[in-house]
Amino acid sequence: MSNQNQNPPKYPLLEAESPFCCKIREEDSYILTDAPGLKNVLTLPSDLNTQKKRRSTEEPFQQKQLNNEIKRRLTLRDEDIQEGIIKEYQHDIDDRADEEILEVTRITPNELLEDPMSNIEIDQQPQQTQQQQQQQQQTQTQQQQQQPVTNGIKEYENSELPLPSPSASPAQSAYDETHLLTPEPLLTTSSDVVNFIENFATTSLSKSSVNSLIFKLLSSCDRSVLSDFRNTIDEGLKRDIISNLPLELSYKVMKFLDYKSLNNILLVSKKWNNLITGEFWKNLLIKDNLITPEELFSSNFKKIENPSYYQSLYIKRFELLKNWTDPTFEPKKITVAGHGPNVVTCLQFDDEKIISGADDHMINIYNPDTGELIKSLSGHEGGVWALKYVGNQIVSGSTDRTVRVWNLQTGKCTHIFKGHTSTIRCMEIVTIEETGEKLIITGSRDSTLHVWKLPNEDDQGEDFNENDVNNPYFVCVLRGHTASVRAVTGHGNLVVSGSYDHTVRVWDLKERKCKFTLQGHSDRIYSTLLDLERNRCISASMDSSIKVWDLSNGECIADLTRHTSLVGLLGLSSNYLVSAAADGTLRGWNPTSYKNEFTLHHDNHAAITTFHASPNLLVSGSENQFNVYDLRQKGKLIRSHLLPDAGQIWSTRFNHSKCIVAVEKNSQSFIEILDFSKSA
Amino acid sequence: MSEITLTSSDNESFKVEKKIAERSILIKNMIGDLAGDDDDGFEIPIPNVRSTVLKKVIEWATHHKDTSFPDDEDEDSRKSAPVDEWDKEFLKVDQEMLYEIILAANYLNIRPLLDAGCKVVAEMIRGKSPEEIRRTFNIVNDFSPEEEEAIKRENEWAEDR
Repeated sequence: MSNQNQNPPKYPLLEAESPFCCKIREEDSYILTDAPGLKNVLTLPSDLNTQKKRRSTEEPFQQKQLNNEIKRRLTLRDEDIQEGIIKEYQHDIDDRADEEILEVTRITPNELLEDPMSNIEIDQQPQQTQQQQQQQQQTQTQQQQQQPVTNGIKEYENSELPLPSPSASPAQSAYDETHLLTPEPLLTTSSDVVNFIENFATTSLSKSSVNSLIFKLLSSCDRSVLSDFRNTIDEGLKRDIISNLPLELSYKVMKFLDYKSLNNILLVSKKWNNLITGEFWKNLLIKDNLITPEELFSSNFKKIENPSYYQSLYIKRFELLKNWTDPTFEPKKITVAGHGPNVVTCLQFDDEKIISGADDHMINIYNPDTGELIKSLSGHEGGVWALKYVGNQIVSGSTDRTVRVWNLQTGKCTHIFKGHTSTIRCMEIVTIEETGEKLIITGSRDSTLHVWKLPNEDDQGEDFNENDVNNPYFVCVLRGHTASVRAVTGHGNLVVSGSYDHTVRVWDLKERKCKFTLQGHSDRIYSTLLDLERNRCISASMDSSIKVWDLSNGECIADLTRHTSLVGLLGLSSNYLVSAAADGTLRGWNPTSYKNEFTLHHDNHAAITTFHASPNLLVSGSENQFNVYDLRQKGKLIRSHLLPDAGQIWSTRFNHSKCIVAVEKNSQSFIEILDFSKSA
Repeated sequence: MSEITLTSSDNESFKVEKKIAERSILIKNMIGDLAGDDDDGFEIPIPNVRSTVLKKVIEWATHHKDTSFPDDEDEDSRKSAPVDEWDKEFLKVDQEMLYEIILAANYLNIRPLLDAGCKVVAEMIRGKSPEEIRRTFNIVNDFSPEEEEAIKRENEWAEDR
């Protein structure tokens, strides 16, 4: 290779990049096709005639120079062969190869006739000489009028002459113009003729003339030879596309690949290995739904730049998901006492805490790793039926008609909001984008919604008197419903509530008024859901139907009537809208077209009491049954025996590694912690 | 204006229907910026693309002149969509041509063609062992056996159980 680099051809028709790598340049893009059609496909450059003319004026000088060269080289060559000093020109090749090459050299021109490829291989890859010989023997029978190109090329390269490197251009017959330029007797062997033509073409002909020369030669080839060339050229045109493309395009290619391909890419070469960055693994983490974009861009991860961190995060999450979906994997299970014989109504958790609210007036906080009961918050005088937490604050609503705000750290109740005249049944906390202010919206059996400001985290409520008529945290009452408010969801200034009065109302918190009253259901509403991406809201009702409403005009755009009993629960994951009903089924709907994509039956047909869905998984519970489904496979059932001894399953939530379930066993409540990062 | 002329790096000119040429956002913007309403025969030099490649690109744009492609912004659906069958056949070319088509599609800002080209390259990688990938793209393995072992160990998690 080094010789080629030192002596680049003046007209690099075929520019060698590796022993087998050459690419056709620019206008020389003749396409090799089947021989019969070749002449039709190839067109000669129009300037060939002018090239000829131009050359003739240069001839006197060139001819003289060339004649001298040829004389000198032929002398060299004769001596080499006689004295066997060819080795001097082959010093970079091992001894065995030298012997083989010498053998080849001794083959007479006629024997060598048939191997147009030998020149590209011989000086680079001596180990292939054997192959060439075989090839020569095979092709000898073909009796073609082709000119061989021998290892003589090597000698040229190693002489000090500024001669071109060998190229993949085949030479098959003496160019008809050579007699004009050289006295024939000097060219004693056909290999000399070939070498001379090659040298002459690459140093003295214009690019287009060289092309037309090659074209003519190719045109005279038969199909099998063209086929050989084609393979060689195709081989030669291979290139490291990934490394050669601009970086952003290489990335684009890789974004179409999965983790298995990325792992193989890491092993291809150092260049390829370096292309796989942390960004890639981040991308893949999101693409495979192993992390939510919110989680990934949260402050926990923002500071971490190390790419291998994200690869290991991918690996960790990938392994975890595999544990979930492998039915033979038994997660480590911790069972802790819950709220005595009372129903657990609320359950929420994260990596640091599990928070449960129950009919026994209590709120419990557990350690999710050990199951240890960290705190019990007492104060409510009735069952806790609504609960949410934000940062260090828990907000709860109760049958005692009060809203309580708790400090999670100290376990103290900091604020009590009075105002509702009946049980608080549902709650939402929204953040007003413009101000960053957080608002609590509570829905009650008194058919109103109350809006409250969430106190600051460090406000311990010392100056606050719950019996004061002027509660500084009270914002407004949303009136309109004529029966119990059963469900509320919101985002920013937008609040959607569902009521036993059969209607859904859409409220604007900024204007403090009802924007739409959505009428259509014929029975109580049990659940509402916001689909901000599509600007829709969804309601589920005791009339067995699910309705989808357009938030821009309040029109009902879909009516899903496949359930046969009260639809109590709704959830939205990336690929499905999921609904659960008292008919013992869960249904998955396309979130855009609302086509029913799957239906999952619980064995005992008992009403589904709880479910939670992530983009990959769906977990559901009913009486005596707790199932895990794979949402990547249209809700394929993965497990149904995780909690064999549980009676009623009240509530379940999960994240990537843990699943928390509030259950009833022998009339007592328990919190079950299933840890999929640890084997039982 | 119904036709415009595109001139390749090697000075070959192609007369192309305006609608076809406007598959390229670059050309579309140029026409919008520079051409008058009745500026027939408006000529645009494409100095980065040689004639054979330009001819291929025009062939693609001609085939797809009435195709409506997914929204540019909807990256997810563009990513998950398989390569169109016609595009797949169209891109069955040698690697040099494929490489140049990708570069040309990028330069001319023809997103669907760029997507298809990149997907075809991704298909050349998908499901292949590192050695098969090296053979496909003529790449030399420059890892020492120790380095290779170390990476393989890190990759073990992805093995099918």
